Order: sequence, then structure tokens, then C-alpha cells
Amino acid sequence: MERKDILKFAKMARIRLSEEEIDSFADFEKMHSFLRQLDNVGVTGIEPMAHPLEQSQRLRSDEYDPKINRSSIQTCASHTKDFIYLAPENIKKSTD
Amino acid sequence: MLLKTISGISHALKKKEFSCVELTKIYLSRIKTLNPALNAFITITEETALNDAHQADQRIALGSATPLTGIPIAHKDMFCTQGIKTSCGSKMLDNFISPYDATVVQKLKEAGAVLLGKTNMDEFSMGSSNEHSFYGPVRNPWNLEAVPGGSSGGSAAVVAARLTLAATGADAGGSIRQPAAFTNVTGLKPTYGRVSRYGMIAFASSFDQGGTLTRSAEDAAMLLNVIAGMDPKDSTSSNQPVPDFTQTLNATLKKVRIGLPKEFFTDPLDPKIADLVLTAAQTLEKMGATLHDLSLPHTPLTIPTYHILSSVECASNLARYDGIRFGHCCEHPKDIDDWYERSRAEGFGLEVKHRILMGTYLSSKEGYEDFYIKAQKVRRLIANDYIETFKKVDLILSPTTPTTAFKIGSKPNRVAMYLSDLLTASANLAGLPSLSIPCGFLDNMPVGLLLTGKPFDEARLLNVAHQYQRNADWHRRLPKEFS
Repeated sequence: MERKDILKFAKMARIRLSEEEIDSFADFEKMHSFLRQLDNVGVTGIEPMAHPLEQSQRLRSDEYDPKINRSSIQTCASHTKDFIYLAPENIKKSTD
Repeated sequence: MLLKTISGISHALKKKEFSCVELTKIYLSRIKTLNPALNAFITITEETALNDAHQADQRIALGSATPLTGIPIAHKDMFCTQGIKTSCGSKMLDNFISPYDATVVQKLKEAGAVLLGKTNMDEFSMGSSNEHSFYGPVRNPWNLEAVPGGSSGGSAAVVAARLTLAATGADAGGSIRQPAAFTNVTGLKPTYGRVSRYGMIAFASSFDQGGTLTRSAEDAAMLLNVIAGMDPKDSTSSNQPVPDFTQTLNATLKKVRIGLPKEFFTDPLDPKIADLVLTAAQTLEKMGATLHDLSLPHTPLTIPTYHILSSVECASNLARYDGIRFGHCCEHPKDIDDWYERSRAEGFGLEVKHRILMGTYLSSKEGYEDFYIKAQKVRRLIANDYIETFKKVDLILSPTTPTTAFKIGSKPNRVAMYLSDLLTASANLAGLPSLSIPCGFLDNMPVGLLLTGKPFDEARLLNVAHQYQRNADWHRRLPKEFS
């Protein structure tokens, strides 16, 4: 994988990499060829298995849980105002 | 005191040989003295522990105690604990105080267990050595220069060093069983779906399963009795009936069919480990079990299959860390892209970044069909091997790890590290219950024996492990510096 590919996937994953971190992907080819061991396995007619239980997932009832309320959840956020999460433009406005 | 198991301590508490507060103070004192050498706790919850212990004493006095009332435990720091930091070993969650308890935490709290603290781990459960923690590596109580295994290395180390009676862990590819083998403790990964994942911070959702690290199989049965069961909050938890796992511990091993898969006894397995494991198998044979050679032919494909699928699931799960609703947030973001990219760059460690990028690549148009879908098909081949095998035997016996605990910093590259899970990850691919128990020592380092069973047949694994532990004393041995 070339440098431009690493940067492309880093961009897709929304992670900014330092030069040192980009260099650390030098062993990517080793990992890639390790994963290529599956190339020669015959899987004709085999259904993909996404999950070990293969059961249909239940839905739970949409009920209010008083222990999980908006203010307790928002204590974990870095920037909020009036129960709204603030993004950079809002932060700028709220501090102007 | 340090040699007692949960049932022994529970009995002594009820007979008022000592109080829960006294017991808790002993463990807190050991933690203060001995944890600095291990770095096994991220958070020590002294105030919570003493409060829990006081309540446990009251409960015992009122006659409403459960077998776990007053029992000191620790949680791997990926189980959400209301009002207590839950970091998952990451800078990303260094400031995260959970607003709710994981179901496992809630159930143990309701049973009256005493929380001593939260244990160190590989960041977001990605690792086999506990070297990938924001809080520094955990050290192995049997050799402080060696790793304790990972990712539940902190939980394994604190049980091995007798800094707690038991601990929770989680296992996506061997993260309970490999550290259990490296530290001489009993590590149980239940069947996928047996234990609720609600409140467990996700790494790879079709693999992750909560379990236990304990001093014995009997202790594991007692904990599983409490944490198992369907949870409406986890749509992947199973509604299979939950037996009393302690009731069948003493069942006879006569006619129990144990399979030995040849693929688990070949290179890169240390032949001396194979000898110890086969000696343990012969002990079970003398107790009435029958041994059967067999083959699980797709075993060599386990690690590439596991790493393709778990990396894709990791990239998906960790996309939630945007620095907005919770988790690390960068200073003075210019715009929303800058916010995401710098918060994630600063919050995640290098191993996590590698796996996210690998998963992003493998699920992109470049990798989706050739890797991701292919790996899902190979996963079925591996699971089918087990389905066929369990028509002939009741459980499978193998070594837990190819080597004993290795030195910190000794693995030359990622592939070498990933191969540490060679013998454990196939149980996760197939969703099977699997248990590691101590079976000897090699150059003064512990060796683990792995028992893997049919779906939801934890009772059989615990029965066989308990019978073995009645005839062997490996699990009672303590590391010198911590005895």
C-alpha cells in the first residue's frame, strides 16, 4: 500500500496521521500478505456467516428510562448549551 | 485467606469469621502495596468498596445474602460503571464517567459483590499482551519482565496476584483465556449470547463476550450463575435457559468424550507445552473420560479470518468516537473535519489506528468482496468443522497458547503478536464456550489447558475443569512475590 492509499483510508476513517505514524504502516504489506492466505480457500456455495448465533435480533420497547436522561448523558460531552451539542461554528458563536 | 476460593470466603463471611469490611480492607491494603509493581488497576475504588462492604455486612446480618455477597471483585475497565471512570484503556475515554451500569456490573452489584476497582487492559480490547494501554503495560506476577497477556491482562494479573478474589473480563479472540493461561488463573469465555453485552464497550460485536477470571472453575460457575441470562437491553443475548452451573460440577467424567484436534498440537506450539497438556488429558482419562484424536481442518485459517472480520467491526464500532457527545475532544477545532480528525488522532493509540485503517480498507470497495465476504465464508467453514466434531465428542481439549508469557517488547511485528491467539480465536468465530485452566509450569511460567464445548454447554466445561482441579493443584500455586 502506497502513502497516498494510507492517507486515503485515514481520511475515510477521520484520523489524522503524523509522519511517524504513516511510516509505521511499513509493515502493512506483511499484514496484507498474511490475510491473503484465504485466497486459495474454496468457498463455492458457502453462505457468508456474519454472526455466530444467526438469530433474528429482538427489538426492545421504546420506553423512557429515568436513569438515562439527557443531562446525565450530556455531562460526558465537551461542549453543550441548552441541551444542544455544540460544533465548532456554534462554539464560536456562543463565545462571541 | 489468599488460598481460599469464593465459596470458602462466602462460608467464612456467613459464619462471621471476619466481616466484609475487614476482608475488603485486607484487599485494599494488598492493592496499595503490590499494584505499583503490576500496574494492573486503572482506578481503585476504595470508597465504593468500603461502602459496598458495609452494605454486604448488613445484608449478611439480615440473612439476605447471596453466595457473592461481600466477595471482592474487579471489573475490566471496558464495563461501564455508573459514576466511575470507564476508560477502556484509552486516552479517548480518559475523561468518561459512565451515566449507567453495564448489565454484568448491575447483576454483580445486586448480588452484593464488592467493587475494588477497574483493571488495566489493551486499548479498546485490541491486543494480546496489555502493552497497548494508554496507562502503560501491565506486568505478569510470575515474572515482572513478562506480559500478562491481553486484552484482559489487568484482570488476570490481579486475580493471579491475589489482589482480588475474582474479576470480569471480555474475550473477542482469546482476551480472557490467553491471559488466564499466562498467569495461572481460570478464564471462562461463555457462549456468545450467554452474557449480556449491554454496557460493554464494543470492539468487535460479533465476537465480544463477557466472562470471568477466577481462582478455580467452581468460582467461575458461581459468577456465571449471576451474570448469565437474557437481557432485554442486548438484542444479541440469548434466551436459552440458564442452569445452576454449580449443580453439575461433581458429575462423573465416565464416558465423557474429549477430542484432541491434531491442528492444535503442531508448530508453532512449544512441544513442552504439548507434553504438559497431554499429561493433563491423561489425568482426565484416568477419571473415566475417553480421548479421541480428531481434525479441525480449517484451523490454520483462524487468525487471518479473525483479523479481517474483527478489524472491519472495529472500524465500524469506533466510528462513534467523534469527540462531540463523549470522549476526548481536541483544543480549538477550526471546523468539523478538523474536530473529528484531530480528536481521533489524539485520542486513539497506534494499534487502534492500525486496526481502524485496516478495517476501513477491508470494508472498502478494494477489500469488501476479496477479504470481508471471503472471510465470512471461511468463518462458516471453521464453524462447520466444530458442528461436525461435536457429533463425535462432548468437548475439545487443547493448549490455550503456543508459548508461555513472552517478555514485554519482544514481539517483532504485528503478525507475530496476532499469532498469540492462534489457539483461542476459533471459538470466537464459532461463538462457542471455552475455558482455560492451569495445567503446569514451564521454566517457572504457567501453562494453560483449553476446553471448548458445544454452544451453551458451559456446565460440561466447568464440570470437567472442576474435576481436574480436584486432582491437580496447579491453580492453587501463587507467584512468590505476591504470596
